[in-house]
Amino acid sequence: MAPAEDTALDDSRRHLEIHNRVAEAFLTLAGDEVYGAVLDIVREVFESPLGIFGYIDEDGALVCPSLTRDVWQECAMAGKDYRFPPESWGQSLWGRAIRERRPLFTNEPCRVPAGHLPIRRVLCVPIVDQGESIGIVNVANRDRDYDDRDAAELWTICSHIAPVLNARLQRDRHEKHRRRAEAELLRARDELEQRVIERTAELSEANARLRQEIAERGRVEHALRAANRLLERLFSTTAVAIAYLDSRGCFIRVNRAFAEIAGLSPDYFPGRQYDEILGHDEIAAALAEAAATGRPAEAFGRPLEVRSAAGGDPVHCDWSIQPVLGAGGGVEGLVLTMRDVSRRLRAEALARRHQEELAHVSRLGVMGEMVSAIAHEVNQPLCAIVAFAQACRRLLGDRPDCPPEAREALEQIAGQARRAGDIVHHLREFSRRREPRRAAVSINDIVRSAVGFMAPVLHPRGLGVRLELAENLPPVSADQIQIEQVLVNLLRNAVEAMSDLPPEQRVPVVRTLLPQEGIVEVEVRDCGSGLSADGLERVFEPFFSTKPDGMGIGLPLSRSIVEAHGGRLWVVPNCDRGVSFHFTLPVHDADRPGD
Amino acid sequence: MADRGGRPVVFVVDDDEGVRKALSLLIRSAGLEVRTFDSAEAFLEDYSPGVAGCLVLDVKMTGMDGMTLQEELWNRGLDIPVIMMTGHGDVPMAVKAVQRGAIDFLQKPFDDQALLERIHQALALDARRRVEAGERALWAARLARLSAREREVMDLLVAGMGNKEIALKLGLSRKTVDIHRAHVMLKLGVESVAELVRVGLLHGSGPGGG
Repeated sequence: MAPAEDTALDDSRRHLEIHNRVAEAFLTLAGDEVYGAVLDIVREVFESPLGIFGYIDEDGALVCPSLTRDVWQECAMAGKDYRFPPESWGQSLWGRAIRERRPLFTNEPCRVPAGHLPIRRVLCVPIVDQGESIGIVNVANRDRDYDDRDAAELWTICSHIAPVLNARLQRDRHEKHRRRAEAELLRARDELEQRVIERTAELSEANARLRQEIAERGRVEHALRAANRLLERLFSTTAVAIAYLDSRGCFIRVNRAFAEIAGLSPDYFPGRQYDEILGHDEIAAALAEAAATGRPAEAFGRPLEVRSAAGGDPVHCDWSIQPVLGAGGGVEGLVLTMRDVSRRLRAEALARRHQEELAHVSRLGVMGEMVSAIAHEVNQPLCAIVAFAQACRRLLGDRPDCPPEAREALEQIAGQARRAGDIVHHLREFSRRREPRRAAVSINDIVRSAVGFMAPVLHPRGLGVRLELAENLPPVSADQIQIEQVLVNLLRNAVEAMSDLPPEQRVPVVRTLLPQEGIVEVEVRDCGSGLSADGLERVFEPFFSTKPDGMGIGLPLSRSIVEAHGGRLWVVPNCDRGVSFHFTLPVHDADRPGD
Repeated sequence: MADRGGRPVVFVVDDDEGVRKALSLLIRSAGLEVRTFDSAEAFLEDYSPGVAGCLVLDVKMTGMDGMTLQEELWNRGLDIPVIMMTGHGDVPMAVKAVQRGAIDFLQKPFDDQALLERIHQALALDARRRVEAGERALWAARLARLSAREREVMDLLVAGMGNKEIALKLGLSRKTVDIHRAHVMLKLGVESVAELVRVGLLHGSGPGGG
């Protein structure tokens, strides 16, 4: 074999071996280790102590993982880096080699930055794949110069590396993208999880709120039900008769009290017209009117014709109609309330009759007492006239010189005066108080009734009466109206005697007691201005009064009444202020005639 | 104490001046003596029981009324006859007054005859009472003159005993009893035992009396 052929064969064999070693490195080494391994092979092939094997990354920067090997330790540059962006390349030989996509070498020392290892000679070969520089391999500082053969050989090696590196770069890029995507995915997942956690928290919070709302709603419903029950109970048990009707006067619902007025069951009403059940009365007319106008109506103490009621006393009612207005202002329904006031009216009528009777008896009593007092007063001068006339007739009449006409006149004076006396006497008989209509009555009831009749006088002035009523008193034998009149007289006097006191002190006291067997005593005490010694003595005299407008009849009349009952009425001064009037009444005795 | 020889007086008590004057004139016109008072208190102040007379009294007066005055006179042991005058309507009170010893009651205005009749009636009653009182005083004085033993003998005679029984009871001789009886009859001025018994029964309830 020729030496050239041998050399070529050797070269071929060498190239094959280098390719195998490089291919093996690419196949067996993962990550950046491959760059160091390949660079070691290349430095060994080209007997260079220094070298660089780098690739162009996506941003066009040169990345040299192989730098980290031995060069890196010896490099003293500040801010060491193994990633060089294109703008940092400058006019460096390797930068030109990359840009120009062809091998360049120099055997002159290169200008390098401070701290950089000195470069005596260098060979720079770009790795070009499909017309683009995708990396570079540099070898430097061989003991002998680099030449074109070296450049061509390294170019060949690099052109072998190019597709593998490209594939690797592609793969790395994909890997990187995949990792980034995975990271992205992971982050997205984390975010999602976070959001799920947040949403879950929000949901559970909403859930708790909902549960709370449900509980709240339950409570409200419970309260509503209770309120409803209360309303229902109120509606069904109130004494006020309530009916709800639609605007055509048709019953929707009525309560028990309403149904009772008509004497029917509440179930009978719904769906029926008012006048169908209760007749065409003024309420029916007022319902129609209220439905038409939307205005309420009411009336008091009206007689009610109840068609279906079962006889009995006439029913009187206070009634009122309240229209229920809808949102549009139209009448939606009518609330009719009625109150049966028959019993109240009857009680009022009774009380009025009682009061009228009391007033009548009072007037009669006062008149009788006045006539009696006038009779007594007039009687005295009449008595004197008669006596004078008769004395005259005695003194003159027997004398012979007395004219018969004079004697006759004196007889007439006496006769006419006696006639006047008879007239007074008859007048008195005529107006004499009726005999008390006695019955067994409770003195405490009489006192309460009398105080009740004083109410119209006392209450407007803010006055009251204190009652100290003994319990278990036996009934007295009395004419209730007359004794009430005595009490009213005494109470009125007591209040008037205290007129200069402030209202809260102007409280008369009525006391009842049983001072001894068979007698009940009533005391009416005031703390007024009291009576003088003369007043105490004369207070029961007719026409004697300490009041500026007093007639002086009340007390004499009261005394007459009490005495006609077989009791006594007297007055004693209190030890502190005012006076006390006392009167007694006999206890009722079923065996006594008249009792 | 009995009669001072004066004429009986009609006392009129009424608080009405017209009535007092009229009654005064009327009573004087009948020839009687009158004294008037305007109140019960004034009458009580002035009245002396030695004066014979009667009382014409109004039931209703301010101050002490007629009923109270009547009660007061009773309490003081004065039994002057009372005629009550009433207005109308005091009838129940007048009835009560009569029950308590008043002669009568007259309802004003009354007739002079009615009043004067009652007054004469009252004065007669008063005179009779005064005579009786005089007799009572006379016999009391005579009885007072008897000795204790004489009084004893008299009481036994009044009780219906004979001389023999009295002598036995008192442990005396019949003769001594006879002498006592003679003294008693002499001192009392009675002439028979029958008269002695009447005196003893009427007035003899004094000291030593059975």
